[in-house]
Amino acid sequence: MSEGQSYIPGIERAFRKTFGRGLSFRADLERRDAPAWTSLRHVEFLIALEKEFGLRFDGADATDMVDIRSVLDTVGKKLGRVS
Amino acid sequence: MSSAIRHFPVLVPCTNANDDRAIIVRWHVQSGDHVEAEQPIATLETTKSAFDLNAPRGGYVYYSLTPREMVDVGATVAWLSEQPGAPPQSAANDLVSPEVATMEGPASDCAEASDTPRATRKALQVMRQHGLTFADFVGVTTIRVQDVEELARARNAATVGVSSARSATVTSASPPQGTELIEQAPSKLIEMAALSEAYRGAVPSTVTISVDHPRVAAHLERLSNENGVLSLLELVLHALGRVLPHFPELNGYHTGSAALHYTSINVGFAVNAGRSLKVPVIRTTDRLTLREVARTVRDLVLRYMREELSAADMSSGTFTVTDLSTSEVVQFIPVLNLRQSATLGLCAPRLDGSSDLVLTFDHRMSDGMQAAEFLRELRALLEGDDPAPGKA
Repeated sequence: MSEGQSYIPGIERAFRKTFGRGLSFRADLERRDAPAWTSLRHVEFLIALEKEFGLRFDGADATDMVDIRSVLDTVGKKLGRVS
Repeated sequence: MSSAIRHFPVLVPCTNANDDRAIIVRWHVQSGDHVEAEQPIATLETTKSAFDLNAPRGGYVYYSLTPREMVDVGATVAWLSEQPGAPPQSAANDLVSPEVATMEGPASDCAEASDTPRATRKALQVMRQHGLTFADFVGVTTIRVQDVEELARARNAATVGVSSARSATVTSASPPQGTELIEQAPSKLIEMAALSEAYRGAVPSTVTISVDHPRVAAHLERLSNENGVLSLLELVLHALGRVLPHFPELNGYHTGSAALHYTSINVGFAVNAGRSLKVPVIRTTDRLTLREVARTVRDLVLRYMREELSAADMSSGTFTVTDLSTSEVVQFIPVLNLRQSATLGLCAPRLDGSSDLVLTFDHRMSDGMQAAEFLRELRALLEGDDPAPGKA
């Protein structure tokens, strides 16, 4: 894993904390294909990410984060790891 | 020449337009202590938030209320005297002018706070006799005896009583044999008082309409493809912004003597995800796009989860949605909220694929036919039908 991807395990920890083993953590997982990824679980996932990384998200972030790929992207940008 | 000692009543500020009462959580000073201006003297709590009351001026503070007692917004919670050992002999005798205590915490957004009326001494006496407070005279610059008596007559005529400041005080009496007291949070006690007030004089009625849940789900999926994943609640909130302008009677309230409709559409939605029931409000819902509604909902729910919702986030609601569609509840009766004429309930789908929209409304403001028409228009939008010409 490169330095630029070092935050991914933290995202997976937040994901596991929110969804348990009910959903598999993979980059191509999309909210609309995962019934367990409800609107409430989505917000809980964001709160778990905030605690994991010391970040803050807003409603726009929550709307833009529609799949794991966009979650990685948003977290990376907030951490200054992705341009 | 002797100069009279002046006593200044400290009034409970209005933190938001929907709360009539606050509960005393704790005092930070002893009665008789000297306090500086802006020093916190008590913590109060409403349905929306807890806040510190700061002394509006320096002086010796006197009070008789105890923690867990309720006070009306606009009522006197304490007195500030210029000299020690001189508590006011009578609330009416030494009144100089009411002073609303300053508040530590979220800024108030209610109109009353910035436009607190003044009362003549005689009017204040009559207000107390009738259990009225400054909050009952929104928009009146100076309250006179005639104003008080007119309002009292109107309320009595409509059998809408106004409870006294201490009517909901928690009793410390022993529970009957075979029972035990349930310790309720201050916010629950305030909620209880607000609901009691909302139902005093109201004529609640409930109508239900079934929607084709698979059609709603298909419409939601189409919209999600365009806007990102959306929830049923977000779709409903956006649809309400389009339907409510046609039904002002469902976006207002009855005072007991007059039917009023709000000039804004601010839809609140009940949230209870393990951090107590809260109702954050989406302001100007009718002016927002679906995507803007979704962003606002998520922003508010994030703040709820962080326990950061402010009084401003939960004030000025004109209509409320209670969503139990994810709770496997297929039927329930929503309750009316204070100063609102209607609440919409979202139910979970039944095994046959239908689900219910339930509307509780104040029959003084509307009727069953109109409520049914409202639900039909809402259903059409949720199922993705083109609205009728001139309609939502």
